[in-house]
Amino acid sequence: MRNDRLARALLRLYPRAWRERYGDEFLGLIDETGLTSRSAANIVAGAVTQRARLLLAWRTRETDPAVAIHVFASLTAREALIEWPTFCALFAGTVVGLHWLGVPLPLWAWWMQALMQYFLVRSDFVGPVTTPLRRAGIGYYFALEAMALASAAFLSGRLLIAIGLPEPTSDAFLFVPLLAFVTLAVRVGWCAMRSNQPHSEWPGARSWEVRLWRVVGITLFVAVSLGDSDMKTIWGMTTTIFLCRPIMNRLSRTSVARRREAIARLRKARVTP
Amino acid sequence: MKKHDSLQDLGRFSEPALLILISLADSPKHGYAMTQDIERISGQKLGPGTLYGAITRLEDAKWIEPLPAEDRRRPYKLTSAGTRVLKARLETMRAMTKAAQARLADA
Repeated sequence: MRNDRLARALLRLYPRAWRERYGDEFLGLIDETGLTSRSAANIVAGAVTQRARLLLAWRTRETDPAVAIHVFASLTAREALIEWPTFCALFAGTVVGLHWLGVPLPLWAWWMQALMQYFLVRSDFVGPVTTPLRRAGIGYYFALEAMALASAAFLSGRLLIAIGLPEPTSDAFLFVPLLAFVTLAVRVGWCAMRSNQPHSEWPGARSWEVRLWRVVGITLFVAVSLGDSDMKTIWGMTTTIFLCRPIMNRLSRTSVARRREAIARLRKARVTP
Repeated sequence: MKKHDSLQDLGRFSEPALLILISLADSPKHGYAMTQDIERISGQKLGPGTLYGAITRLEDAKWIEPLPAEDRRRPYKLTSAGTRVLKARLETMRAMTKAAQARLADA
């Protein structure tokens, strides 16, 4: 009985759609194999993977400022009252927490990034996410993810010092770990998306326009960074890359087609997703 | 929409997915029967999270399909696309094994 309750509790870690499809047979399997600490850990890991898969599925949808603004304009008062304060409280808490830890990033850049992410991510919520609280939570997740990437250089530098390596110079402190992390994150993210979301593609990832803009962006980033060791340049460029990413995506033919489709769907439905 | 055409596209689930396809090659099986069968043929005991993570991906790729549930057991069967993918993977493995054995013999 206790195991049965625990199995049901563990099942609740999985996304609802997954539970509805596989829940019964999954519980049946656990019932037959028995629940050990090892299988419980395996179930938790499976749940994390499924949740990540769902997030990646949303992430791979087209994000577009036009759709986001359209969606934002159609917020009901109730939704706005729940969603915005929740998102702002979560984000403000994180900013205060990171400042408390001493992460030196200007507030304006965080807020700008967070708001941009939030607007863009909101356009992903045409369909799968229905409650304002959940939307705020997912918006916060993406903003947090972007911030983590932006803070990675600083944290990597702190790690170098912590493990006893010589204190890096200003350039190495920011530039080297940042580049390594961004490259790694992009690679891992791409692999994870391909393995978790077999039938989707990163919007416009394969189009020549996006490839061209990516090369231009990286070249510009490297050129400016080599010529100016000022920290502001590095952070400015990092923020710009984040802000330009959706614009790069917008340039692709796939993106344009999906954007038109999304706007048409919204106009037809005339409902808040 | 790009579809998977190889087990390697399933990332870290490619090995459990291969074991499931092998298990379903002779007859449809439900989750528990698959874990038993896989343990017998490979010595690996797949956890419930891993097993159903792989089943979810295999079903999404249309390499296996569910049959009507019997109580809380739902059997799955291999589709023709799944059979094709399994054969291709086994062929690759056979070539790899042959090459490895040849090199070991030379060593």
